Amino acid sequence: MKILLIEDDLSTLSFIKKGLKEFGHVVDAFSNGNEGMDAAYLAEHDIIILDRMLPEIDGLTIVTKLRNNKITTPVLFLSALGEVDDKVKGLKAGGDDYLTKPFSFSELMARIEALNRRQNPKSDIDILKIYDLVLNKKSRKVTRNSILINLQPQEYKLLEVLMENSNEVITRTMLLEKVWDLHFDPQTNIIDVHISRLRKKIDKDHKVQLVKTIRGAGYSIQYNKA
Amino acid sequence: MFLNYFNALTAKTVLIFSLFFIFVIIVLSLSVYEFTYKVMKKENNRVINIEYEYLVKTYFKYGPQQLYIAINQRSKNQNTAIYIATDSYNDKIAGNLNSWPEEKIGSDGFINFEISRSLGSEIITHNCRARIIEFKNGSKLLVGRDIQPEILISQALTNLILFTIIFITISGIFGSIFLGRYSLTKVNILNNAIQNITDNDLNGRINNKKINNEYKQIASNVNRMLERIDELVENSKNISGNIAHDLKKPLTKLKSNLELVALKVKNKDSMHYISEAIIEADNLIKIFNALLDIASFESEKKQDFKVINISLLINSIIEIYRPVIEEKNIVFKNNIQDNLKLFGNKILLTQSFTNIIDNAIKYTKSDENSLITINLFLENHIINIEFKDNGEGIDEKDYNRVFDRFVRLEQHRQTEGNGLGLSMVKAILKVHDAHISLSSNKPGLVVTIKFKRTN
Repeated sequence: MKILLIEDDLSTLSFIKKGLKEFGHVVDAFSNGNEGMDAAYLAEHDIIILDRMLPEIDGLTIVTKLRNNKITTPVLFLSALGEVDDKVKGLKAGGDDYLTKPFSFSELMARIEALNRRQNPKSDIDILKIYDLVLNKKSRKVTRNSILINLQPQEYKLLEVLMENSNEVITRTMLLEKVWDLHFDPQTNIIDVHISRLRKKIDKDHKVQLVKTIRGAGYSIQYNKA
Repeated sequence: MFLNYFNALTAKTVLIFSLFFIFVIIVLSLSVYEFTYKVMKKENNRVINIEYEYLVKTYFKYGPQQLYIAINQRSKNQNTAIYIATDSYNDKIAGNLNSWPEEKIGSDGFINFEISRSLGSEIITHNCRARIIEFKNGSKLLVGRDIQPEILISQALTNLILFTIIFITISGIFGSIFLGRYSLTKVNILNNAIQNITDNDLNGRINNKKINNEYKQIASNVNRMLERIDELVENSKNISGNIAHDLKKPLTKLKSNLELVALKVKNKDSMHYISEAIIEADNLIKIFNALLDIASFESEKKQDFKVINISLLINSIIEIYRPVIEEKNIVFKNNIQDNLKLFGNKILLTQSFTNIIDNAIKYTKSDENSLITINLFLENHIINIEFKDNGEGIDEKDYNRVFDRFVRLEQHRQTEGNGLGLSMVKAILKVHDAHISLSSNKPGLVVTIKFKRTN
């Protein structure tokens, strides 16, 4: 992927740059908002990672300007401001996702992958399929091996989020945000319990297990021909 | 009501002083009585004795005839002195009384009797005292005085004493009611104001317009003290906020570097230690974030407030948690009144409610007798939310303490947590002008949240 990074804090800038390069991405990094915005106008990047607070021109303004000029590159906001209304403001201005500093690298990677995927026209499809598991977004029906699985609304939502990002890692934080609209870390293992319930309905009595736990990162739905 | 007034210190003081005055007046009156009435009585007796001895002497020395002459001489133009001499048939021979009076025995050899005197058309009874003697031939002599003034003075003194005692008692009672009421009203204004301020986390001040004198001074001193406390609390809040803010950056760098190392390290053992270090760094960062969040909530910015359907919000939280609670074999009941709305920040409220439920789950045993209940209802236009569990509960003495930062109860040291959860809950609710309180579910804990009345 070709990633544009605009971040005024040099240590964060070099941390992200080094990390992304480690994963084989090409990174254009700017510590100055105006220069970064000029680069964004070229519209040659897959993702823009943008700090919310920049000295000369702030992140919100940059996104607003880009969107007004029909630049639709997905934007991931980074911010030290953890407050919820900041997230809301960032997303309203045209940002696509929001990550609060400090974040773990795996979290950033997962979100970049998810954003990149969203760009992919495939996500408009109503029928999501992985191996013999089929989810129909229109009828909200889920079948495995052509047998209808009865899911509770929350279980359906959880499965939908996992399947929209199939083969990708979805972090716990992402699940909390996307499935339950929770923007903080509850002390209770809600996710584990919901995942285990989903597993019982999806994977139990099947030879091929689709819902995977990725240790230290999150969950993923994937089919590995092992 | 009135008894309350008597309880006031001022009222008691007034009552005690009234009793003291009554005592002083009784002592004073008794001495006046002694000096006037008794002196008069003595003087009258002395005069009676002199006259009596003189007349008896006359009788024995010069015979009855001389006595009758002496009596008749003395009786002329006399109102105060009373004489009568009778023969053995009890008929009057001399004196200014018409007949021998009906005697009543008095003290010290005197007798008392009453006489009627005409004053114009009115007839007045006067009290008199006398000495009498019966001679051998059966004739009798009475020498006495009209002691009406003595009686009048005695009556006047008694009346005066009674009147003064009654007056002081009544004025004492009314005075203490009045003063008690006065001081209680002022003290109550202070008391209520201080209580309100305490209940309200030291917000607000005493309005000293309605009070004066020393009470006003107390009020303004309490207000000054509150200002000072406010400053100190503000400082301590800022300190933890500032520390969190300043330490977060180096900590973030530390974590970033660890993550970069983690990308390169292939050795499994080293990887394990690095992951542990990253987790610890994450925990520290979480604590700092929580502190910063609390500090920002406490600055009471009502950001992103909207009308929220709290019934829907609670129901959706219940749906998130239902599997978790069922997984732990805890019975889960709830009673949610529909369509209750309030003005608030949905995400923050969700955070505080889930925090309370997290605690309920954490401290409730996993068995079929365990029960967690959530109720949402409107009472007197106030939205109430109750979270009840029958877990181990909290000691009543710790009810206030658990909302302070970093407070972890002794029995919970082993369980996970940083002691910031309830501080966060309280800070969030405070921004919403909501009040949170704890009580016992016997056994277990009831967390009650009351939102400010909205119309």
